[in-house]
Order: sequence, then C-alpha cells, then structure tokens
Amino acid sequence: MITNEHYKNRPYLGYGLGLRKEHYETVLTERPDVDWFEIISENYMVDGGKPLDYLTRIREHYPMVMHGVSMSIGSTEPLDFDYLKRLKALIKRVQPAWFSDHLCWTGVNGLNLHDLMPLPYTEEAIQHVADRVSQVQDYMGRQMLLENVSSYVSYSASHLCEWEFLREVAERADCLILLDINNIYVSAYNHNFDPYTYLHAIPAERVYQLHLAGHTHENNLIIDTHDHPIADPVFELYAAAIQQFGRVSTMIERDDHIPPLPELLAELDQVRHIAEHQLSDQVA
Amino acid sequence: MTPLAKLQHRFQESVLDPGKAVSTTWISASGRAAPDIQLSIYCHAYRARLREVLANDYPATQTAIGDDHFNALVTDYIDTHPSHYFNLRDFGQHLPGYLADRVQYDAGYQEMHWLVELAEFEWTLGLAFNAADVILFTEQDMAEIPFEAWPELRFIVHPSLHRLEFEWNTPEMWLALTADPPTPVSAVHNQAGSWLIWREQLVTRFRSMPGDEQQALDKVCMGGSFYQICEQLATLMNEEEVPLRAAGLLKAWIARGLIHKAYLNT
Ligand SMILES: [Fe+2]
Repeated sequence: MITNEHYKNRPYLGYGLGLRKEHYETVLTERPDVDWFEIISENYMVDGGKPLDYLTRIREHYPMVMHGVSMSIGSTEPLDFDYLKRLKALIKRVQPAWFSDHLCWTGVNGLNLHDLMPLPYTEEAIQHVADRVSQVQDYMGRQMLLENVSSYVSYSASHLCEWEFLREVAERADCLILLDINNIYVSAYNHNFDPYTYLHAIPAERVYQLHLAGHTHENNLIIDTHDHPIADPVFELYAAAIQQFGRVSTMIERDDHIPPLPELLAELDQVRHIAEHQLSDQVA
Repeated sequence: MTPLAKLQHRFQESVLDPGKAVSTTWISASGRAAPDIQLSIYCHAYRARLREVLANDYPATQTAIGDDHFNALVTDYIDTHPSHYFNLRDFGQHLPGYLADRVQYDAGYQEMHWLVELAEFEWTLGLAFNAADVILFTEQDMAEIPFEAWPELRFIVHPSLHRLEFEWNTPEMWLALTADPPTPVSAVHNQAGSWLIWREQLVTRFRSMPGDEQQALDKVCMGGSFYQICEQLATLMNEEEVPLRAAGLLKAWIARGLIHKAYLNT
C-alpha cells in the first residue's frame, strides 16, 4: 500500500492554475479559490510595466512556482548565463516554491526555435543533460524540476525508453521532476507505448509537481495544444499517478482558447475530486 | 561534432528550411506516423507560433494589409530573421526595418511607406509597455531646488520615453485600425510631426509635440542643462517668453511622469 509517509519531505501546495494575463483582474478582485499559481518565467523577464505589477500584487495573495521555456537544457550549445542570470533575479523577486523547465532543447547555432524539441534517448544525451542540470543547480543554489515534453518525432538513435531516460537524468543530476500527465499520454499515443508503464517507472520521491492539460487529435497523432479541457483518459492516468505518488501539487495548463476563470475553477474542482478520492481510498 | 550536436543541427536545419530535401533517416520509421509527417509537425508549429507572436505585436499592421498579405509578409520575415533571443518578445523587433527594405526594393510594396511608420509605432508602444519602472521626479522635488542651481540642472527622462518622427498620419491610423471594430481610415502623407510615446504609471500614452517642445526635449535627452534648454527655446521665440515656456514645459513633463531625476554636473 502507498502512503504519504515516504514522501513527507515533499512540499505540497495543493491545486493550482497557470497564471494567464486574461485572468489578472479577476484573480485580484475575486481572489478565487486556487491554492497556488504557476507563472511562465519568460513573461516576467521584462524591466517593468503592467505584467510585473500584476505579478507583485497577485504574489501577495498566492504561493507561486516558476516554469520556464528557454533554458534549453538539452542543447549542445553552451548554457546561456545571461538567461540564467535573469532567471535567478526573477526567482529572488518571486520567491517561488520551486522552478522548472523542460527536458528538451530549443535551438543551436545561436538560434531559438521557441519550441520544446525532444532529445534522443541515449547515454550521450543523459550525461550531457545531467551535467548541465548540475551546472544550473550549482548556479541557482537549489534543485530544479525537469518536465517531460510531448513529442511527435522519434529518433533512430534512441535506444532507451523515454521513462528510463527521464529517470536516469533526474538521478544523475539529483534534480526533481515535474511530471506532465498529458504529455505522457500524448507521447504514449504518438510513439505506441503504454503510459502506465511510463508512470510506474518514475521515482515518486522526485515528483514535486504534476501538469494536466488538454490536447488535439491531428494527422493520426495527438498534439499537445493546451486549448481544450483535460481528456478522460488523462484524468484516468492522473488518478493512477496519485495512487502511485500520493499527494503531489497539481495544476492545469491552459494556453489557448482561454476560458473565463470560473470554467477553469470547475475543471480544477474535478481534478481535486479525483485526487482526494484516490487518497481517501488509500486510507480506507 | 558529437552525435547529439549533429542530430540537433540536422533537425533544426529541417525546421528552418523545410523545402530543402534532406535525408530523414535520423527519424525512426517505427512510429505511428511516417518520418516526414513527424517532422512536419515541428515545421508547422514553428511557423504558426512565430506568426502568432507577430500578429500580437503588430495588430494594426495586420488589419491594415489584411490577413493574407500579413501572413505572406511575416512568413518571409520568419524565414529571413530567425530568432536569436530567448524571449519571444524580442523576435519581432526587426520587422519595421525589414518592411522598410521591402518598401524600397519590392514592387509589391510600392507606395506603402506609411506601413513602415505604422509598424515602427506599434513596436515602440510595446517597448514603452515593458520599460523599467522608476521613481518619478515630482513638483515637490522641483520646488526644493535652490534658485541658483537651476541653470546647471540636468534631467534623466523616464526609460519608457521614445520620440518618433512621422510623415504620415500614423497614430491616427493606428487608433482607427485597432478600434473594435476597426474604423475606415486612409494613409495621408505630409502630416510631418514629432510624437512622444511613454508610459504614465502603467498606461502607455502618446501625443504629438509642438516644434519648440520637441527641440527642448531633444536637449533634455542629450543631457543638456536647463540653461541650454532655454538657449534652444530662445532661437524660436522672444527672449522674454523663454522662462515661462521652459518652466511650463518642465512642469507638464513632470506632471505626466516623463522625468525620472534631476541632477547637477559637478
Ligand atoms: Fe506541461
């Protein structure tokens, strides 16, 4: 039986949402029942103005975590210390519970594709990424969370499974994991693997945060569009994740077709209901 | 190059130039979709994302030339100006310059000089929106400066302040094109004027400047002293009018949050 005993050192924030500019005003005036917010770090890497002002005011009322898209931890280019410096300054300002980025690369040759490009699952890539995560953690003076991405390409060079790759990177770098349940589902479909096998291979003690999101079927593949409500099979996978990991801070990512806040709050209630149901089963 | 580096370069090349026939043997054929389909997802997403960013940065430009024309324009821009920035916010910064080139050399853009000004205006509004927050110089601060210090007093303007020279009715066009719904407007030439763009607290603002104000503000921005500002004004008006005008301008700038600091060069 799984209990939270094993993971009592894991900080727990509850049920959160991604903070989006469409909701700034509502969040401030109505103080919705959201336990915490995740911010996209790059959106606040500006000198001043409205977004930073909202950030400061909303931070006064809610715990936050920071989620980045530009670290390019898997790139074979040198780490961008200009970026890391700005990230560190933002961390100092926001005082997030933790910060995360993706297990991916975003560009080479000094260019940025502004996309989360997957890595080949090879020993070479594991060592490369683990070394860089260690460098980042040394520079930041704290652990980071790495998130699994959705992918649409599988490399001929890969000789490991994605979950073996993720686990090995996390262990070698001694970093934490942001497990995106929707991304597991999307990649499992696109690459024909069993999402539950993936889930079961993940070391629970490293999982500090879960992402949930919607997706779209397109071209006989599933695309991680974040523009729909969470799909039922993703909810099922989430229930299994809670069974396995115990209480983990969970949030919904919505980046497109952003609905009014009450709609997302209702979806978050659904998430809370599923998780609490799993957890009460465990006690019984 | 290591195998990982080689793979990343190959993948990136295929995304940046999907027309180029390159081998896809590095993509596994065992997936649900064929290698070229797998690759096309990334090629498509790359352009779609950047197009969306530019549409957000340049809404009036898009409305002015229509979706199809705008799409063609930004697709060319995406292909010729790949991003060197970690922040998507910076990606569109070369579009006004790119447009200026197109207007000069491309028959399809003949007589569209106004479009360059419009894009430049939109980009500058964004710069003001994200500029640093600073403490403002107030009327109270002004009152505390001893009379004898005034001639040598210099000023630092708010970091959001930008000045643009337009030949067209660009701000008017921008207002009409970004109205909801957009209202009809046409480009009118020979509307020469100096425009001021800045952020007052959190609100981005713009207004035109009369000639004497523009020259006085130029002096301020170049680090000129209050005495030099007055000298500049004296070339434009009777000497007895100068002190009142100089004080009036400064007061108005302070009231609208344009002045960050005053200092003495010692
Ligand atoms: Fe995610």
